[in-house]
Amino acid sequence: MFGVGARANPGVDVVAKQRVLLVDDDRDTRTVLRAILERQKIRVFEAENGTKGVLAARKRKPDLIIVDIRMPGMDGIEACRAIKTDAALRAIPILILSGAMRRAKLDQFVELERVSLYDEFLAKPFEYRDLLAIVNRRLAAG
Amino acid sequence: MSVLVAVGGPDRGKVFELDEPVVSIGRDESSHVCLADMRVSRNHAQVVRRADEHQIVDLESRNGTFVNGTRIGAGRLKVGDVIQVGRSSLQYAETADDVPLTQPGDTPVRIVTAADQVDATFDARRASSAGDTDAISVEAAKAAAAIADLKTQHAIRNLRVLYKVVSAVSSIYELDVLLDKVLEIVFSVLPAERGFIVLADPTTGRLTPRAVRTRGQGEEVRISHTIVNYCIRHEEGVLSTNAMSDQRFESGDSVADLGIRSAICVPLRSRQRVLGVLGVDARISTRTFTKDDLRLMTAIGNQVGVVVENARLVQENIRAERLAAVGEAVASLSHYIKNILQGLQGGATLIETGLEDEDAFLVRRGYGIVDKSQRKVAKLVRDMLNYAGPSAPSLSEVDLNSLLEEIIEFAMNTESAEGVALRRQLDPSLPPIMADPDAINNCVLNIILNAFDAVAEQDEPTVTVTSRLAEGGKRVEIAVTDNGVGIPAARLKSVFNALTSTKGGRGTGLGLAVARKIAQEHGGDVSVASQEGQGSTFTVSLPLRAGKADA
Repeated sequence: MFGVGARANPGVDVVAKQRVLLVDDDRDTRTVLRAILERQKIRVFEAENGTKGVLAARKRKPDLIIVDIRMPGMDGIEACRAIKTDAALRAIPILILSGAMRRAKLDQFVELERVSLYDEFLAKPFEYRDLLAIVNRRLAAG
Repeated sequence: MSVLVAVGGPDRGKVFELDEPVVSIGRDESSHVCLADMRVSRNHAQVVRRADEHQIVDLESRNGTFVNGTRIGAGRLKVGDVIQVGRSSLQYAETADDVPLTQPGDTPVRIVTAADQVDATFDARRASSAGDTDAISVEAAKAAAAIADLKTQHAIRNLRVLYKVVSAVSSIYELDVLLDKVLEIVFSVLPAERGFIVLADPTTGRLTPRAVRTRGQGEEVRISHTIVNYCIRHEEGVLSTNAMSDQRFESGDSVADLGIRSAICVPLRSRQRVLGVLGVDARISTRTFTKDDLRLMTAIGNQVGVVVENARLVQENIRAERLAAVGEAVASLSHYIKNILQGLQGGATLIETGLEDEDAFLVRRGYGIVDKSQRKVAKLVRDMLNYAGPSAPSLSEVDLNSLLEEIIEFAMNTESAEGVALRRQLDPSLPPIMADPDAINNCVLNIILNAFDAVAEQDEPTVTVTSRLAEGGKRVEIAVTDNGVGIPAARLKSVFNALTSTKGGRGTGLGLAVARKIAQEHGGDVSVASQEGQGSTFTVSLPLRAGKADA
């Protein structure tokens, strides 16, 4: 039966846009996200910090990246910046999950960057159905 | 044995023995010399014993430490020196008997009357010239006559009473104690038979009697609402020699109940507001109060109004500080709580999905996450309650080593224990101790979990738990050593502060604070030693019988 344990399932990516990279240091969150995404026949890659996330983005070229930003530490935001300033990766949409930082504050950072660090935003605690809606929308888009 | 005697300030009269090598002075409860003085820092100063002398050391307090009026950083104490911190004065003496205390209310100020001055001038002039004695005696006679004038005499008396009231109550912040004192003074200057003070609630305006006094047994103090209300509404003092026939109180029934008495009622005024009423009365046969008595009472009413307002402001200030602290706590914990909520969401989603797909594996995984989140919440609440309230440990005989084994087993099953090597060095000869097993469990567990977090990034994370006897068998010690990055010296002091965490969303900052609180409630403590780059050791020290600190 298709489930969390079935990680190596190469027959999954039949459709063009179905690869998602998770950048999150919390194992439980990764577990849940992987389970619900794989259930939608989406191929999931994981990275447990910002640095590994950027490396994984370059290697795997996902169609969507989900980044959890935690405070303190700019690790998640650094990863977003690295990705959005890399010509090869810039086009990949980024969904940010944020516990402590509110969107308004995040946008202040973005203004300083003059390049948009993210494309979608969800504040914790969020409903997984809302996350799925965003993921599906982004993956369906051309 | 040398002592410090509080000769001034809110703790006046207290004697503190200098029986430890280091005696701490401050506002903090853990200070040896704990002063209830808002202008004293939590850890203000120390008295350190060196050979057979004592030194006073200022601990970078906000308002400074003074000896005999001079600000010091550190200095040697001589017998008779007076240490000033905040508004408090502590005299250094060989024994408490060496420091006679003046009566509260006594002041070193003498109110000099015109008579004193005239006499002085008169003497000087008489000494300088032999002649003109007649002119001088006339002047002196006139001056003396002036003093004999009742009005001036009364004015002087009133001034003395006011001074007494102010100096007696201005350092009392407990409202009811303050008001009792005011009535005591009023009764000492006026032959009142019954007296009361009524305060209006700041928000509702409702009047409540806050102090009553009678001269003689069994007198009931019934307060006339009519007179009190008149006083408040018209914001003026009332002198009524025969209340029954007084036009002002025509409609008042309560006045009739009181019989024929002479009464004075004055408003307690502050900043144009009336805060309450001070009243006295007596049977006409005892005393018919005069206008002059009314003048005195009015002045007292104004003074007491200011003092009451002041006391209320101080209380409000303290409450605002506490609320602010709570606000900070909530903000600091909300991030942590949001992460737990997200965990619950995730786990529940997995369970729901698993049920839909009939995938037991998913359900189990989801349940695991929900369970973990639920435990985190439980621990957080427990820590918060623990920290918020004083709790007396419920003692029983505890085999410390087997308790430690239980704690270790539990800790090793938590997420943060992954990859950590745990070593034990438990002294098998440890005697049983009297302690609260659940509390000690909480205390040591928090310290061990903290150690796990400290070693998370290490290549070979190791935590060692040691138990041993200490202080010649009078205490037991539990030491938890980690090989983490250590704590910089500057941060060592604040590592036990609540709600300061360096772990971001993963820490609450409560763990170590609660651990220390529990140890202290048992009559022990938690201390930390750390070497940057090498690691830290937290040591819980407990007396064999909790609550009794062995000498």
